[in-house]
Amino acid sequence: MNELFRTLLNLPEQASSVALRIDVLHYVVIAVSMLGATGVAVAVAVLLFRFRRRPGGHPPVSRGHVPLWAEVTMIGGLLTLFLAFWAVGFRQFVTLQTPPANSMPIYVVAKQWMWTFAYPDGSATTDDLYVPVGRPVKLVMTSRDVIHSFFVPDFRIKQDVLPARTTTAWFEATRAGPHDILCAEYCGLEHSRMRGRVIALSDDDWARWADSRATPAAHDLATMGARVASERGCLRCHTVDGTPHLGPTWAQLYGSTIVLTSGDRIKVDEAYLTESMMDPALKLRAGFAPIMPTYQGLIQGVDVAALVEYIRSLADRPLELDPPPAAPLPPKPIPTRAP
Amino acid sequence: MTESPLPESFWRDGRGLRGWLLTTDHKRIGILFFFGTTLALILGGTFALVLRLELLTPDKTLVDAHTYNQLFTHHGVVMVWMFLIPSIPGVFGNFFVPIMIGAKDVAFPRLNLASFYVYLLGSVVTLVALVAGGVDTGWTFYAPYSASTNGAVGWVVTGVFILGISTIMSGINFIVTIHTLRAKGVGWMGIPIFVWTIYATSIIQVLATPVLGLSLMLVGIDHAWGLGLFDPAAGGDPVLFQHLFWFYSHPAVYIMILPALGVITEIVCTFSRNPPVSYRLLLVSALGIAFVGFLTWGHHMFIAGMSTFDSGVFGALSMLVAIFSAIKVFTWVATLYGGRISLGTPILYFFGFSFLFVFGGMSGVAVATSSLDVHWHDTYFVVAHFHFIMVGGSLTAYLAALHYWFPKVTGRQYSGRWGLVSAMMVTLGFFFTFMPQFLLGNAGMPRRYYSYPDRYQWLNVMSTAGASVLALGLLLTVGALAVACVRGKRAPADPWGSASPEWQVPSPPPQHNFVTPPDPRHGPYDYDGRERSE
Amino acid sequence: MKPEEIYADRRARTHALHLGMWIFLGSETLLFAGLFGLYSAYRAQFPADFATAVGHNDATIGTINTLVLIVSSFFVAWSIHALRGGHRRMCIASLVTAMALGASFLGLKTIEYSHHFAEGIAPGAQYTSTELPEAGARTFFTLYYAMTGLHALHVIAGLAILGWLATRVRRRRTTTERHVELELGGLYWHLIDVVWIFLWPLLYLTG
Repeated sequence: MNELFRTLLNLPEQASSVALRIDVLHYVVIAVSMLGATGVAVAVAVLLFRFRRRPGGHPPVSRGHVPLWAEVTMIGGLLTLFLAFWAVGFRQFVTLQTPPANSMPIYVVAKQWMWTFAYPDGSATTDDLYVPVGRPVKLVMTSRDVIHSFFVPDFRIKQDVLPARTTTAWFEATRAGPHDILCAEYCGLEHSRMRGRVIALSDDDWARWADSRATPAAHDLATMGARVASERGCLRCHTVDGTPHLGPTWAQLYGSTIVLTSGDRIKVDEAYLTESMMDPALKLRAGFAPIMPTYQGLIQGVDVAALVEYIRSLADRPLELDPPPAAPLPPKPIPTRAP
Repeated sequence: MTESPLPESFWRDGRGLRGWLLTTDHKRIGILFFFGTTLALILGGTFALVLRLELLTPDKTLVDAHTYNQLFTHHGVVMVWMFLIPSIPGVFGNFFVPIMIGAKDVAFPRLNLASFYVYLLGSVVTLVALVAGGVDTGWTFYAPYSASTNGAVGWVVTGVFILGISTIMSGINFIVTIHTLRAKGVGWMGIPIFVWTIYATSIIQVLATPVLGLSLMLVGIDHAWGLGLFDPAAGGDPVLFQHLFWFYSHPAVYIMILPALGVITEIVCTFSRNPPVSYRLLLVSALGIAFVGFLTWGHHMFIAGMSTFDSGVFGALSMLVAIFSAIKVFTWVATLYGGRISLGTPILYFFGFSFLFVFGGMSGVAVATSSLDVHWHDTYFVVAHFHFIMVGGSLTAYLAALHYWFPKVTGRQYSGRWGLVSAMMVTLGFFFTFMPQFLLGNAGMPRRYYSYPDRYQWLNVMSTAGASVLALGLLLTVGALAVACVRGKRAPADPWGSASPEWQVPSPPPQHNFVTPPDPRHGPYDYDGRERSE
Repeated sequence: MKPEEIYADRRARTHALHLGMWIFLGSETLLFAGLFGLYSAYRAQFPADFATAVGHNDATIGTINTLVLIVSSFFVAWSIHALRGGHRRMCIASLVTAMALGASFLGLKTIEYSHHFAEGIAPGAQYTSTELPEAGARTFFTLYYAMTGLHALHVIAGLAILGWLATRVRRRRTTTERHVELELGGLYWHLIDVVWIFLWPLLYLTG
């Protein structure tokens, strides 16, 4: 039965834990709709025929009024039906909006016109999202620019992705295989090509995939970011405790508003931090010299995400104003930009 | 004893072109709106046809992605604000509301003419946008994309703002007319239901359109000078824009359907020669739609980042609105019972309408079911839903109105056979354009998609085929009526045998509407009374 | 068609004009309501920042402006009373006084705006002040400019209307017997006043 209706209604496969119950509600609502509309049209056709004007006329049928109880029953009945749809649908909706406690978080960043995914183990992928079958996955999503929407038809999930805010969606894949990701909020020129795939892997495949990610062990992105900051030389110029130094301190930086050399004021967010790594002179903070080298082409996307997470974790770091280092270290020579 | 000759029809006033361009006759202004809105329909329809042709193949067929994005934006802007909103009120409301209440004109005839010229100005400014770079934001202008995209956003929001002023002017005029110019003896319950629906529509227009004006102003200023109210980098919230925009735009869809429901009521009663089974229910449901329609805007935003609780509230209220429409449908069907129905083109349009409007409305109940909407939101399911209502409902009713009131306005009759053929072509063409789109949405095809995954192609091809039939059907409809204008037989005052006031005046009506003062003893649906006194 | 042909008598037409005017005022109210709605939403989001920013506004000028408008409304009402009593010149004088007060309102706002600009408090992207807590204050002032700017546009329109009415009275086209346009124009002016009375606490007093 389910397969019959699903095929008739051109629905995609039911590949998530919620898809079946949502589809069942769908079948009921659409069946009622189709029956209702057909019923009305048939009634109209029958009446147009039965009461058509005939030559010679016929005595008018005595009609009387529709009694009040009939009106109330009809309206009450319909309202009950519609509110029943609403109630079942709303319960399902609450489920869709509430990730289970043990969900595996994956960070999603949408930007015109691609999706990037960062995993708890610190690795990252673009456009393809790898998840295990049978485990709930929670997506923590933000956009770098305009509003996008993360849509996986096979899972029956969708959630708008907003700039400067995170929104959440969750799913538990029940079938292995690729499942299309489509952007579902118009976002400009390549909106219709902003696609990806959820690659749901069975247990063995998932274990193999996780192993194959050649990344160092890290508990979470922020911890990894601390390590990256040390390894990539960031801490030569940036402190993490409020101490003034060659570059702005990262303590209490994320989310603050700063003034640029151009006089503009901006809020420090993921976008600004990423830009500053790639093109440091573009939006230079007032009071600092343009000595930061660009890391364009020299740093992996996942490392960028990790650094951003690390800086974000320092947003509430209390400022300890240690005396500055004895002498500033010579700046690293600025490498030529990668072609 | 010689009778005094009948006064000249409103078509002739001896003033030539000036008599049209400077007219304050509500009937002539209705004709002016007819020409304006017809041009808009043709333009909006052309955009639709091109974009449907583009969608024949999964990638480029005719145009590039940027042009496509502009096409769907322009299609929406033109159809919503230059056609659907002004069509029935501007053409038929203007022409018939005064006659139906026994008045010689509207309350403010010069304001009426001004509303047409403001409509014209707004349309021209909007069209300038199309050539001055075009707009690619979608008709919904969501922030932050609308602030950051290139294109003639400033022109289009200004044009639509001006069009909004025209609707407010019309709305004020109708409300005051219905309040103050009912003829002696014509009470609030003595006016045709069509007048009530124009009244309810006008209330929505005057209250909701200012909010649209504000939204457009903010978009325009943001785009031109960086206002930042909805820019997250400046502390703004793009979701707030959606709240502001939909607070107007949801009531706007009721502006687009309520007058259609009034037309259908008149046609059902006239053709079945029956009063409505319950005048009171039709009245209450019209006002109910207008009022509750203001409370449901959040159902466009279930997954926009709004709270779950709010989604619940908006979903439940949306169900309530559907009840009012259902009441109307049942009343119409029950009115047919026991009638003496003549099968003219208008009642055949009602037959098509009965399926399309009910299925379209029920698909609205479906998308108000929040868990289902998660899958359907921003897919072709929603596109199909609102086209079923806007085209299968509003446009069908508009065409029905054209065929119903054609003899009254022109004094001629059209060929019933061509009427039937064109109605069938339009209805079938419509069905095959948009029914496949429900299935496309189910399969997950998002809207505003220039290119799409291959597996969606066959349904897109079917939809485009249907659109071609729909386009031909519309051309045929217009053509047949145009021929009838010139070669149709003379029509009597009351070719359909209606009891409604507009059929008690000559076809076409004279300039001052009435030859003998209107007789309020018979209500607009008093078929039995008329028979007894005849 | 002339009004005499449509309406039963002049009283009916006057009634219709009044009804139309009230509906128009209703739509104007909804126009401002959208901005009040945005203000509420953002205030709920940045309560402290908004309070600080409101405190930064000059409540003295704001209050003087409120009194200026209230007094101008009084003079507009007086002008109708005067004309009804047959005192044409007093009517014109009242209208002109109301216009002068309205112009002073705009003058004071100009002074206020220039003070703000000097501090770098300008709408939207031009906002460069660093004194006040960032995002909330910038949003507050953007709304401040939007609300007072829209209001000021209406004041300018109102001045034009009052001027037109004063001219009509002078030319005896608006008379003791027929002055419905004076009543309608007066209603418009009162609306502008009422809107300001709601803007005043939100923008000046709730710091």
